[in-house]
Amino acid sequence: MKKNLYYIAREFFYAFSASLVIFYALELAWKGVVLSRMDVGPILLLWLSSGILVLGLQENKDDYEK
Amino acid sequence: MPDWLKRLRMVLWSALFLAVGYFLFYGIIPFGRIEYSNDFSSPDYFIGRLTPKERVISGDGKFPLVTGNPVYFNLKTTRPFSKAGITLRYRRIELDEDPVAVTEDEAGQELSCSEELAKTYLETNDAPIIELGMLADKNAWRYDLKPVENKLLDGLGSEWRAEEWRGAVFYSRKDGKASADGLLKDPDRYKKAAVYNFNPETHFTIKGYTASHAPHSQLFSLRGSHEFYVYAKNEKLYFEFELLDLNLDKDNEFFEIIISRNGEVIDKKEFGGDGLADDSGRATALGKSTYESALLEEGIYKVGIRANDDMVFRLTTRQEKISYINHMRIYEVYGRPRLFSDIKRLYVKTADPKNLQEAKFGSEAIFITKPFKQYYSKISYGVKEIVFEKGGLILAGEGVFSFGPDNLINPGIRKISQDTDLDKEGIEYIIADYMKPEEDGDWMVKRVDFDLTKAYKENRTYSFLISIPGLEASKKGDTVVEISRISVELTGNSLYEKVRRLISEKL
Repeated sequence: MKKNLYYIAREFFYAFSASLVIFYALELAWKGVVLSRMDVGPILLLWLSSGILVLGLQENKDDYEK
Repeated sequence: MPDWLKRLRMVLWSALFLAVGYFLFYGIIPFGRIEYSNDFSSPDYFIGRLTPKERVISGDGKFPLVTGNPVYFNLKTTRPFSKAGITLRYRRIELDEDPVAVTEDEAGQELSCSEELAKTYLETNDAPIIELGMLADKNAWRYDLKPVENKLLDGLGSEWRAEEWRGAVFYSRKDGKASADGLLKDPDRYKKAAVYNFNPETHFTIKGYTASHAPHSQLFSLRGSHEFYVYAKNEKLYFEFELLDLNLDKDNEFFEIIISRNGEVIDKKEFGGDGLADDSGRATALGKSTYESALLEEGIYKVGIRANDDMVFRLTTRQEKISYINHMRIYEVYGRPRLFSDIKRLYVKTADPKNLQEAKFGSEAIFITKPFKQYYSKISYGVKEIVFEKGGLILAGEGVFSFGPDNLINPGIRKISQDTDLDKEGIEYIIADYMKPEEDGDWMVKRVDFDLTKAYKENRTYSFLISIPGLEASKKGDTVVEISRISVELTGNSLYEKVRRLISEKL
């Protein structure tokens, strides 16, 4: 169970990290293109939560990889 | 890696891909048309809230109530567009409670006059005219105004008949004999006519006019952009500007003169500032700059002075007939100057406490006792004298200002404003480019189109104004304008047209 949760959190963390980087780059290149359509606050919050979850579950990472 | 994890990964990255596609689609707007709408229930990125807050009551999930004139809103876009169709849904209602008091500073921009006069004014004025404007020139603070509602025209009684004329409507009293064409050709009838959102080509001449060749200097210097009418008859226009750069703003100064006739620009000349981006407040005298036109045929010419607020000028001219239009911002006076004006109601204010003073408009005294507060006179008709003690005044009104009663020329047909009284002013003819708004239950709905290529924009943001002259709600029962929705339809080049144009330019 913990193993699956770890994998899910990690996938979300990667996806949210990529989203934030891409959205930031888009905003930098074209002001307003993202922020006009979406509030990135919730994404930041989800990214942070998934990151904390990944760190919290990381202790037994080696067991999950077996 | 288990299959379900692969699938999850694919879903997440596909979602990201779709999100990027969605943002790019709505950023590029490939078909060149999009609609934004704001019902003010939550902050909107594209259509900003109404400002300044001192003139808007909002909150508690209610629609904003406009209590003063004017209010502004911004429109942000993600790409350039050429046209904007703005639809306003609004209604006039009575304020059901006293508005929260604003501080002295906040009240600074509001209109003010004696309590008794205010009472009379507000009882007779429920803001009959609503207009929407697009900021066209930031330096001259010029908005391109278009009508939303004109209750004076909507309420024309059965003694008026209306007929369509060149895309506008020609109203005449039933006993009126002139046609629209006949009216415009006969300057003697201009006194009996009024226009609204329509600039007719007029044929104004002064009988027995002889040109004066002696230069005369004005008894005051003016600050920033101005417009004036000047009359010429087989003579050259001669203007000598003694320029002063106040260096209050860091932006580079500019000073430009534009001569036009019947809306057509016939000449322009640009004079520079000191070329320094200086905001030290140390004024620099820039000397004299002269403009002389070619020999001009008889008629009225409109002269536009386009300048930023740092530029002050004192004009010397050989022209005898010269009248400033609608607005004068007097910087400094030489002696005790007098002005003459045909405006019905004078609006006056000062920004500087040291320029508080008593001004006279005809027989009426206007005490300017607070800076930034706009004072106004009673309505009166005919040419009146304006006397003031010192400079620093901003004078405004619907009409013209001149140095002497003999110099005053107002070639245009008067415009319908919130102060217009058709009967008292003896108006028999009206030409208006105006359509009544549609009714939607209690609400009024009107769409107004603007050419965005002529708009001033900064970071793809346009500024709009809602003008409701005379609106001044200060207590329970006063009229306010409730706005339930502003929607904007933007149109421009599609992606296909843009690509095709780029290719044709390269080839």
